[in-house]
Amino acid sequence: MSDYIAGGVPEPLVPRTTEARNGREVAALAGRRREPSIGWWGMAMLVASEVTLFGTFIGSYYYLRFSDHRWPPPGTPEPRVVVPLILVGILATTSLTMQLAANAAKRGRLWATRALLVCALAVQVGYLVWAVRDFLGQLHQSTPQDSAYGSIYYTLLGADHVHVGVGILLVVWLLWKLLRGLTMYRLNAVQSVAIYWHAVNLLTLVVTGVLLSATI
Amino acid sequence: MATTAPPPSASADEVLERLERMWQARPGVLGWVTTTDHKRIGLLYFWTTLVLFAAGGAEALTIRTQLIQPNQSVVSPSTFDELFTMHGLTMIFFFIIPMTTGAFGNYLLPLMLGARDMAFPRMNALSYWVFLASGIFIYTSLFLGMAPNAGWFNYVPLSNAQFDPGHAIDFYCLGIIFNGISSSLTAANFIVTILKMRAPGMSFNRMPLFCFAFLAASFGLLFALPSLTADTIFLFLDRNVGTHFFDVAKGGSVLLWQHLFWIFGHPEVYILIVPAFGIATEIIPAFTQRRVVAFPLVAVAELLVVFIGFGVWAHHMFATGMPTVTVVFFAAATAIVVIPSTIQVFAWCMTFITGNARFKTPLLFIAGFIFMFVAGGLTGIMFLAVPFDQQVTDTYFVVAHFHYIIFGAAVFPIFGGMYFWFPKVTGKMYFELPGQISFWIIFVGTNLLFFPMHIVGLEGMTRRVYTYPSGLGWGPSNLAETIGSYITTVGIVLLLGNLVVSWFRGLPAGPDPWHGATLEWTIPSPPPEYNFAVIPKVSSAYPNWDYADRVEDRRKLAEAAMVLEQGHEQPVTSPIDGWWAEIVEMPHDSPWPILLALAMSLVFVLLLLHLWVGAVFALSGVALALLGWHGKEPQEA
Amino acid sequence: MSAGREVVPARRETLIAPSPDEHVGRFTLRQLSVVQWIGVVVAPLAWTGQHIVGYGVGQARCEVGVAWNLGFDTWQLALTAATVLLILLSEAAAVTVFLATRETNYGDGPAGKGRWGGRTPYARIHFFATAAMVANVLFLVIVLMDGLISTFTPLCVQS
Repeated sequence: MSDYIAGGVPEPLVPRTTEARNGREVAALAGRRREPSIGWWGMAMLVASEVTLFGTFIGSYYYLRFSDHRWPPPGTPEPRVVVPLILVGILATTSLTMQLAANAAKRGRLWATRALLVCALAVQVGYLVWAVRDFLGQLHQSTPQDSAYGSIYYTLLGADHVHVGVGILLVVWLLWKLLRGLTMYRLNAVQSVAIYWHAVNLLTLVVTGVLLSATI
Repeated sequence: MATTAPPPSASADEVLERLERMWQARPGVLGWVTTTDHKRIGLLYFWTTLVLFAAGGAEALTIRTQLIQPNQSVVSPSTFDELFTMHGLTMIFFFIIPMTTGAFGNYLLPLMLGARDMAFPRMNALSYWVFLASGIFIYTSLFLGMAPNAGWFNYVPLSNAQFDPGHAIDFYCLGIIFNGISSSLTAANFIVTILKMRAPGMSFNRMPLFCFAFLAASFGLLFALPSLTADTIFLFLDRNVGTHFFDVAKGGSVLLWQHLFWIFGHPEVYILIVPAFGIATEIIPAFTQRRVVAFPLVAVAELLVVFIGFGVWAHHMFATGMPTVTVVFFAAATAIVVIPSTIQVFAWCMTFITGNARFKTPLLFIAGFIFMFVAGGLTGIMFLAVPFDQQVTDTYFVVAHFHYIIFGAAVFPIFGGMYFWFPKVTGKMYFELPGQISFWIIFVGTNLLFFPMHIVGLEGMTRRVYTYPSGLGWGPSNLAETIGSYITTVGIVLLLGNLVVSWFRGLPAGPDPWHGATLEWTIPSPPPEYNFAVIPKVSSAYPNWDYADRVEDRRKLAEAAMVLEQGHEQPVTSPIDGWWAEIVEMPHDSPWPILLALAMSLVFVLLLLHLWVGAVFALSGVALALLGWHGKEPQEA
Repeated sequence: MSAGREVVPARRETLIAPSPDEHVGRFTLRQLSVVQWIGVVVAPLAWTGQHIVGYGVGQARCEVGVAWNLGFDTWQLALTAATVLLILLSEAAAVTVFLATRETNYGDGPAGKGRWGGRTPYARIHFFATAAMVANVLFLVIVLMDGLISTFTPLCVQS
């Protein structure tokens, strides 16, 4: 008697996935796994919650905008367009490196995973350093206490930077965990952090667009 | 073909003994403090919410005593403000939500799904400890004489720094966010458990209706809480950092608070009642011995009421002067959102009528629930007529409506559920006659308490008034309401007393006293730590009535097949069709949840004290706890 | 402890799905599943979009007078028409799947007779299609009500 999933692919057994303890075992089991892990689902829930939080911030931004004839209010400089867009574009490339890292981990290739994560981390840290310097520089010209525009602008932008910062800490944690090799748990972690970063990159793109829409 | 391959020398007894040892909890208090067992966590929630329910009830009784006749001064006006605010906050955030999701949901969901625990057992424990911490946090404000006092919806500008200086509203903002974290974690846990941890073969359409209800409520919590979080963050910043989100003079908007609040607040009320619908939908089949009529429609109605409920929020703002062209979006959705609830009520009534109803205490509470929910629902539909709504906004008519709904549609099923699952949780049977008497006392009491509020509201008595003048004719109704509140209290004390006495002196109940429909009735009472010795076979949404499957499970138990005793093991399935995907090793008892909750509490206390730098440093405590949490991996356990 | 201690489930039905290329009427099982999800998901998302945009356009127009070179009524009618089309598409999908899977039950009872009884995924698909058929009608009514009434009500009068 042979059990199989129809389509002719022999798939007779249910694996104890948490026990994969090296790259080879991880690759063997992860290749057969058709569904994301429960760790991935947990991260998806966090992402859903955070995206909704940002959605509320963005809804508030437009609600305040459409309650106020002058946006930005007089005396507040309009946001710069070019530099933020370039920065966001560079950050968005880390989605590619993070996803490649997750794919490499799924195929059990530990060194490729580490290298890709380091590449992503370098760009992410570079972005955050520049973004925070920019943020602090802007505070000299206008503050959150100046107007409702300033309040929502700095809160929305600040929240985004905090999420980028948390993402950086997550990648550092991954690299530290991967020092001792690859297990199924660590593969799940890499895949989960990858979707966190996809969400953060998408949010950063949207937030940048929203803040720049004040120039329209 | 061979099943799980035990070592050749192991017998069935040895395999089962290994399972027992694997899942055994640590003894004593340490076992409770480090528990990740969903049943223990459910019980912790249960007892904690009962204490907070008593607090909320004491607040209610004080309010009613103050209002028993005109021109009283039992408490001062400022204390009265704190009382009605804390009553609302306590009953919603510290009684109904944690009792339905934290107690009933935690205890029963894995059992009904055929699982051994939640998807994230340690996060489950964290939810409880954070909930407890948030309850202590908010109630500290009451003991310090600075409880929140601007109503549970806390409108600006009344709640901003100019009109409400001091720490009361800071307690509100931070307490709400802190409590919201607990509920969000619970919601995420429930969703992943319901989607991934079902018994293999339990496809989506074979899930009990209870699980559909909790899935709906969990999605509601996950997507509604961020709006409240954003709102309270904005208010906290306005009060303490000098921002202008709600400051009209600097371009802010007072209505922004209301919009964000009600985008949370309306789904919240569905979150309050939908789990109770789930409880009702399990009690009815057991006491009518009939499958629920129109099963797919009841299932989708539970999801729809929450989904459409996200679109009706501004019906709480019909008196704020919004233009008609925007108001219609909310009136239209409000008109339709009542239909899924109606579908459910029709289905339940038809199940009653076409089944073999035995009116034991749980079913009495469900009958009372249907009566009160329909009454409250009828007044609810009336509010969608904007002209009518503008007359009754902020009067006792609204108070009557939502208490009929909350007490009727949330609390009655909770009480019924307490009786229904008492034999399963304790292994003893409750005493039936005191149970029935407690129902009737509570039913009479709540109707006497809440019905006159309709009348007195239409006569013009506004909400939240500290007292009222004589000569308006409101005295007799208020007197009746207060008497009703005392009667209700007697009934609740009798109910809880009955359960306590039954715990000590009830007769042994056995695994299945009701011939219920779902999987929790297939295991011993009280359930063993591992829930199911054998992974159960599921062919329909009423597994306990599929006798062939249960016979097969008993055969497997005798052979110690499908036991999964090699570790703390659990099957994981695909989300929609329930195909068996993998076996995972689950975490055991752990100190990290309580430690992380303590670290988070420190952050919130420092924020309350306005020690911003300290709070940022305290975040490192949170980070360290998270590192410790993820230090040991499942295969190392 | 290696990763190879795998389990053969005692029940093959929990592990074996029918082939996605199996035919159910005119559709393969894979296509049927896709059409079922269209029937379930498109109408609620369409209503969500119309709700947010319709309310938002009203808010923008009546608070600060922003009009974007299009009349308010044109916006609402166009939005309503597009949403109604999407909902009708969704409903057509749900009805099609419902009819294609008639020979199954919902899985809430004994396996039953008929070509597939309560077997997964046929019962699951039929269940979702039935639920969607009812839900989509509700969304259609909401959209028609708020779209048409907001068009034919005097603009920016306070309620």
